[in-house]
Amino acid sequence: MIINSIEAVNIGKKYQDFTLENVSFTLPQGCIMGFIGQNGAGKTTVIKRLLGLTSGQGQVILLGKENGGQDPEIKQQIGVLMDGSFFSELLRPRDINSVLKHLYRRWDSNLYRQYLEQFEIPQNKLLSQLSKGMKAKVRLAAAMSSRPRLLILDEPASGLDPVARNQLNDIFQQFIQDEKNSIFLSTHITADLEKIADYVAFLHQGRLVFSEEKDFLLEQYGLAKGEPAQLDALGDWVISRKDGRYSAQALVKDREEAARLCPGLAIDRPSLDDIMVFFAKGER
Amino acid sequence: MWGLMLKDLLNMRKYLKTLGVIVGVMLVMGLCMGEASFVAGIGAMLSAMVTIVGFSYDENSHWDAYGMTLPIARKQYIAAKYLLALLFFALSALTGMGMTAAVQLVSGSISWPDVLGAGLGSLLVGPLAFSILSPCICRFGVERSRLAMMMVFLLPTGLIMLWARQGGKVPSLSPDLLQALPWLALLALLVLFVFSYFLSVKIYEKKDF
Amino acid sequence: MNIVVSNSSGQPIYEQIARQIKGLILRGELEEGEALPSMRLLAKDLQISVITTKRAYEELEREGFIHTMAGKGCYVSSRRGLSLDQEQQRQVEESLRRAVSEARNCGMELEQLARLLRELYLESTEGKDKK
Repeated sequence: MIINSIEAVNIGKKYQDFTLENVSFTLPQGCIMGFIGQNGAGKTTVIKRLLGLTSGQGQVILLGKENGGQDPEIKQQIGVLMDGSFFSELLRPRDINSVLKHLYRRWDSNLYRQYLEQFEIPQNKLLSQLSKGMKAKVRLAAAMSSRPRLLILDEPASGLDPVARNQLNDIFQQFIQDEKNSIFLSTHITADLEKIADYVAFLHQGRLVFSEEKDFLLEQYGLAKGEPAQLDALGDWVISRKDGRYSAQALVKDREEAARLCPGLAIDRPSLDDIMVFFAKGER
Repeated sequence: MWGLMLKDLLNMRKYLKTLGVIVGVMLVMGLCMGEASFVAGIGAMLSAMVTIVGFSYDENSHWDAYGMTLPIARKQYIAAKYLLALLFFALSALTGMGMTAAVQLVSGSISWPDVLGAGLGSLLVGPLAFSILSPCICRFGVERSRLAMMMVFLLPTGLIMLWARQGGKVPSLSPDLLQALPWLALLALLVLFVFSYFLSVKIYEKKDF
Repeated sequence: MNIVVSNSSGQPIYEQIARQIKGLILRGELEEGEALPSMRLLAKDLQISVITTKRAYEELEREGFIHTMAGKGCYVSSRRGLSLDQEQQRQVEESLRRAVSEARNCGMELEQLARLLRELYLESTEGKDKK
């Protein structure tokens, strides 16, 4: 009886010029968690720690098993998409099918073919002959056709146009119709997460700034716009602010409180990008 | 694991075709020249190279990080490479023996000791090179192992060619020891091969990807 | 059943959903015993988080509009127990609360507000009569 697909406790990794530390979060079964952060914030390192690709600090429990990333039985149930690491481009999409069907017990060749058809990818061209977007879709098809319980995806939408990303959103939400399935993805494209993510975690310079329900983030936080003096009145509720020549903005922790403290202030629903940008500003 | 071996073979598709052409050309040349030793020698060298090529395709496509997420224990990655290597060694030995026999057939009768000698000779090169290079590559990667690769290929190949040209005879040893030498060498190589496997596994199990 | 959610309405999405479904039930457009789409299916259709739809359904269940049958899903409850008046009254109260807040923001006095309310109410009933 697995309740959490992923449990990460204080995971970390020390590199020469970068340190990931004390990253803890939980992904309940049946949910989608998005990890956002700037390039170089450490998102890929987190994924590598989750999957046991690199050594480091902390504890990882995947699908109920500690260090699940070292256990082939657990890996049978995990579909992975790594940005920048995949089969050689000398192979064709159908070669990938030939290889993976021998590795994954639940590999479904028909499903793989269906995904390729849906994405309009020619099965017989070499990967080197496909566009960046098509290659990304092949990776996704490969990750999903083993009928996994958990998808761990590093930048799945990289290189995809908005139409394709919408296709992805649909596929992801279809995937979690089965409430035992979960998705963990890292991305710097926040627009998709704003729609379908259940949880959002923000990684900044190797540290986890927050890990919250997406609804909470977008409905509690607010983007306040007004006079600098008005923003001053908000005091501690401000995460950080941006004072321009002709305008001033601040991200506030609680929009209702902010409205109460300073009526007349325009307070908008923030986007995840806003939240990311203002938090990053505040961290400096 | 078969999946991984298949992946390597598929990666090498084009390379193997080129190799096949080279081997074919060499056979024709050998038949024309009546000389089989260089065929066996180069065949042996190629067999060793092929196994290393698998590693280099992986490195170029940054396969490792993704590969390690597949449902396979790390030692099975190594096992797949070593098994594939064995396959190529066997293939090269058979090819070497076949070519030697063919050349001899054309110029007269088949001398089975020579044929066997060619087979054994090619088995001496491949496993040695692979056993030394594989752990090296596992630890440092293909790029950084290039110098070691060059040395490992050129030295033994030259030696083997000389040895085969002399009819496989080394004057200063007793006949019994002489007879046993190739077999002892083979045994030593087998031990080295197995040791190399365990070393590579150990390296991979500790590696960060 | 057609649900519309808006990011710019200022109301949390789960509330918007709950409210609309309540409306549908109260108006009889969703009948007693009718099955609601699963939380996950609705989330997919609206392209929102499943936690949001779950919250909406939980509120509906808490207030007696729907009930869950284990393993089968959510169904519309009998309306007899629900007070049409109570719910609609609550909605009116909410709207008024907002109006009061707005009024105070721009410094309107209570008498002014009351006058405005009266005007608007009479205007709308007049409109209804004319129709």
